[in-house]
Amino acid sequence: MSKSLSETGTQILRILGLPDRPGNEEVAEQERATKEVGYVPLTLGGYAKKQLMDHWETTPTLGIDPPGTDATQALNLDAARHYLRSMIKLCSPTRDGMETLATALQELAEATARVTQEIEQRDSQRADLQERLDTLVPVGDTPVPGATAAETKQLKDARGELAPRLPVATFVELHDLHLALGQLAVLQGGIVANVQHRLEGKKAVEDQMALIAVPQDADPHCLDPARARVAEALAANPLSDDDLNAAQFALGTLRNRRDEIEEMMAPLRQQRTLLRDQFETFAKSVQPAIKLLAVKKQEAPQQAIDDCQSLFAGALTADNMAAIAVAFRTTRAAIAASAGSNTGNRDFITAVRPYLIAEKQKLEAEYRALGPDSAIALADTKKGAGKQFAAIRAGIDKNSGAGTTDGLKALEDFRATVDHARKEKGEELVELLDRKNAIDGATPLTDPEGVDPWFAEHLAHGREALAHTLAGILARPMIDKATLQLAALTALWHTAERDAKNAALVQAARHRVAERFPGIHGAARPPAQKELDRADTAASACAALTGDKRDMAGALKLYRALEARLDAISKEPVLDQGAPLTDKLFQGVTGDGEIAKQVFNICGPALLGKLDASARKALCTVVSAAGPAIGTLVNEGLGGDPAILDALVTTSGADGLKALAVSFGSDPEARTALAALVEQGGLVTHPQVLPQLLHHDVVGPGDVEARRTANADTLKAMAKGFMDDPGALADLLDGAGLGATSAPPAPPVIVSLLYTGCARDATKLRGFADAFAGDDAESDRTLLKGLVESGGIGQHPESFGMLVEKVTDVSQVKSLGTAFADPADRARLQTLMNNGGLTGKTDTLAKVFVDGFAGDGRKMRQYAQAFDGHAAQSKMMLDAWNEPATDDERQPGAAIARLLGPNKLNGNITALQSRFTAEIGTVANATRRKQAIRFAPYFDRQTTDDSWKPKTPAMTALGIKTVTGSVRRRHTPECFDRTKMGGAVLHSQFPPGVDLGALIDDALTQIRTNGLALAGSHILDVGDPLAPIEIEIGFLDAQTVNHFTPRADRGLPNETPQFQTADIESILRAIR
Amino acid sequence: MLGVTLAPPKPRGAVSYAKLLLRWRDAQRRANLDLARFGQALLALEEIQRDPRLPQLQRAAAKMTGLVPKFGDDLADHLDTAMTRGDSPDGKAALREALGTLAAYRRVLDAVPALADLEAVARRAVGGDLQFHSGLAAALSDLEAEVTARLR
Repeated sequence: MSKSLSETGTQILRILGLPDRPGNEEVAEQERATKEVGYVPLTLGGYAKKQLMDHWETTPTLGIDPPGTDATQALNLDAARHYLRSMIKLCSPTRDGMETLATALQELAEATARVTQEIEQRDSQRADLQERLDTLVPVGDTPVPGATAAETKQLKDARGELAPRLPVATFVELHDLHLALGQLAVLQGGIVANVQHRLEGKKAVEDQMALIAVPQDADPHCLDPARARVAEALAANPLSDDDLNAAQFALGTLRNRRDEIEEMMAPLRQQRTLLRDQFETFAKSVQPAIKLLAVKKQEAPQQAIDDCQSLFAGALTADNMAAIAVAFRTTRAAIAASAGSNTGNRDFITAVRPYLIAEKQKLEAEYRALGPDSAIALADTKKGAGKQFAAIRAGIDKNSGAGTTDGLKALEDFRATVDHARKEKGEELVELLDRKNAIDGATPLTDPEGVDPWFAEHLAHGREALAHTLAGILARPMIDKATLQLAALTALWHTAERDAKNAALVQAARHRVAERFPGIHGAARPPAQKELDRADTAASACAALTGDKRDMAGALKLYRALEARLDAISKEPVLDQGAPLTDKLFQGVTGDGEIAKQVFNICGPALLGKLDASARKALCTVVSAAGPAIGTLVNEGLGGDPAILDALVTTSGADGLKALAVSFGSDPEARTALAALVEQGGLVTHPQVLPQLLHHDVVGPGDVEARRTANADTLKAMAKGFMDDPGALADLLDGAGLGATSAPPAPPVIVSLLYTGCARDATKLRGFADAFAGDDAESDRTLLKGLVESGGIGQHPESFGMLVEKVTDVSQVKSLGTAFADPADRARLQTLMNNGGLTGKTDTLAKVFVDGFAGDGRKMRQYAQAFDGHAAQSKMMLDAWNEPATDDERQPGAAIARLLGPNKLNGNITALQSRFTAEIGTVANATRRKQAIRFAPYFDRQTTDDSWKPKTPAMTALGIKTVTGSVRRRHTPECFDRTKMGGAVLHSQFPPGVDLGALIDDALTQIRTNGLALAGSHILDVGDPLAPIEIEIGFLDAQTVNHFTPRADRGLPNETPQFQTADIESILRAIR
Repeated sequence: MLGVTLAPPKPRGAVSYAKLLLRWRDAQRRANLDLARFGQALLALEEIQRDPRLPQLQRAAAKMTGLVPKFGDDLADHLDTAMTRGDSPDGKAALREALGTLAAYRRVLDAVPALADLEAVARRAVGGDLQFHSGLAAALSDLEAEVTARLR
């Protein structure tokens, strides 16, 4: 059948808009292939395929680079295109060839898609980094308020260097920029810390300046210029290190100025005192005479006296002193003038004469002191003075009105001559002479009555040295030295006097003790005998001390105590040896009377009288079992000390006493060591320490007896550990305050230190004690005692044991004491210990201090200062971190360290309160608020992409190629990306640090096992079967997981909170 | 028309409305049926069998069966309302809306000129009273006349 085109067919094809020529279909296919990149028709004829391939080969683009393609990506795309072109050249227009080309085209398409996705991720990262850059160094003149120009320039330069690179950065460059931003964060954090440091320095300078007061009597404004220089330096804005240094220098200058003025004031005060004495003597002498004048005549001299008196109330300056001297002269002149006009007033003359005579003698003495012995030439003055002096004497001798008037005039002339001589020799000489005379007059020439030879010898040395000094050339250094020597000599004299009095009292006490001791001692119970022996030995030893160790006051105290004990022991009731059990002390106790005697002998009636029947019975029981050992312990180990024995029996009970006795029973060396601790180790001063150490943890369920025995053995090891230096323990108990009990009743800190801090290891305790022993460590001991007494440690002793256990070096404990030297800071710490959550768990303080602040006391102090007045916020924060059940999960210190990290608060401890707790506290729901506090430290800016999860067998088995990065960006705090929150209401989070990949693999394995579809979503339990996490997993397609989220708000442990958008915002504000 | 008194509208029952709808649905069914028949007859023609474009013409024949537009149910809805409400204002309003719908149907039909062209080619090539377009157009005219009359 021949082929021909039908007219009808043509019409119909045209009406329907279809190709009306044969082969049109192939052409259409070819056209489609040339228009649609990636479309490869397999059904074309060979010629058409060849044409198509030629077309591809000559097509310039074969797909256009997506907008934003960088050079590397463009190279990758070019490579794909190059490969395609190569294939076009190599492949034949067969079906196989076209399939190869289809693959090459597909690869080009995939490469293009990949580039597109990378561009999106890169742009997202650029935006993130830009946001971070803007946060670290905001655009503006002061990126960090308070930073210096140089610091600001550093920040701006860094920003200027990074900012232009961000918009054009490739993936690789973004990584570099991420690192650079990390460095910038460190720089910015350092600058923030510098600003903080400078502000603290400024505050310190201001505080110190406020303490520098104007010296007494000085001009109130005398320090104003120096003070202004400090203020001027501190006013610099921004405040630089140089400014701060300048302020500190100016502060030093201010101190020096204050000291100079203070130094200047000393002679002025002395001069004023001298002048006042002279003036008052003068006024006292002449005022009765003035009252004898006619009323009108009284006015001038009285006015002169009043004027002079008022000058003494003025500021203590050299000018004022000169003015007083002038006024004094004027007053005297006024008296002389009054005398001259009253020659007929016999009474007045009679009244003035004694003054004239006394002044003459005084001036004469002064003149002699200035004149004949002086190296200064006074020849001219001498000549005039002789005449004047003769005129005075003549005036006095006349004993008449005219004579007295002449004498007064001559007296003033002579005074002018003496003044002139004083000026020639220098007024200082007068002052020094006065001081020398005063020293002479004040020097104790005789020893106190009954003085000890040692003191007598030292007093003699002192006098000799003083005399030697005073024999030198009259000069200020000599007088100053002599003044100091006199002060030391006087103090020594008074000490010697007290010592002599105490020695007399001691002597008397010794006589009394010597008379009473043998009788009372002989009749006493053995422990009481031991106690008296010890007391007698101690008192005698103290009284026998000589030389600079002599301590009669201490000896007297010990003798008085010994006498008191002699009184008490002599009055102890005696047990009826024949029928001991009938004594009311043993009421209710049955059995062996001999045991009762032993109990009585060991404990004594005072202690037994305090106990109830059951306690006495218990004592009988333990004495029955281990009487000899207990007796030996009490006598030898405890030295019969009644206070320690009392505390042992009442705190540790009869069983405790027995356990201790048994432990020490077979070890005489240990008993000796214990006795040394009682004598010199502070156990006597703190009788509760030994019982509390023995009673530690000996309550509650379990083998109480075993624990008691273990404690006794530990105490034995401790006693032996301090055998060579029992004083080291005393330094801890007394000096460092670890032996004291605090209110509310808490065991002494030493208990926690031994059992927790040193893990029962006596060697460790000794090591700790050595660090605080001796004169060198006195300051450390005092500071630690401060922490115990007013820093909250005494009230929470367990915290201290935990802290010592956790620190890496004892120097960290010392640093805590040093940092809290200020009582105000200790009060802050105590408040946080009581109400701020620092003792929420016994290890909280230790974790915060060591993990949070690297054992740096200064940082701990900053924390206490930051939360001053905000204890509730500290408690809210620490309690949330303390909520997990196990010690390992509870890590408040690690959380603080994370928050202070470079991506968050950058070491700004103050911000823990001002930013973190303030912002996180805005999370409305209480449970989510605690979760926010726990999760916030883990919120980070780690970047992630769709290649984050490596291929695993679980993925391969299901053909899953990708788990999108959005899973991590949405549901893990470490990678959380706020820009991905979108409109979602809830933002559920996996626990920080969870192995998300493993959870996903678990879910995929379940999907495969249960034959679930790789589409839609599924709800499964994954992770630890005992504490599973319910998740929802979803698929973008059969090869891609793009949804994996915890479904419920699962509580601790491994909590999976469902934060709301506002919660997330609060967290992010709180940490950045 | 001054001087002429208009006659009152004749009362119409539900059956008459149903007939109107049937008339329209028959016209659509016939158009589809005739197109299918024509396709079969066309492919059976010898000239078509010899034509090298036979595969294309086979696809063309298949394409023809989908040419009649889908008019929807708006007309049925309006007539149904008119049938229920009678001569009430609502019934009248429904009739007016039916008239509008009929006009729209006509525009839809006119948008497919291939139907009239094919009808002409079909009558020439295979003969017979094939109605691809004319039947539908006539049905629409009849319906418009009926509805207009009921509105008076």
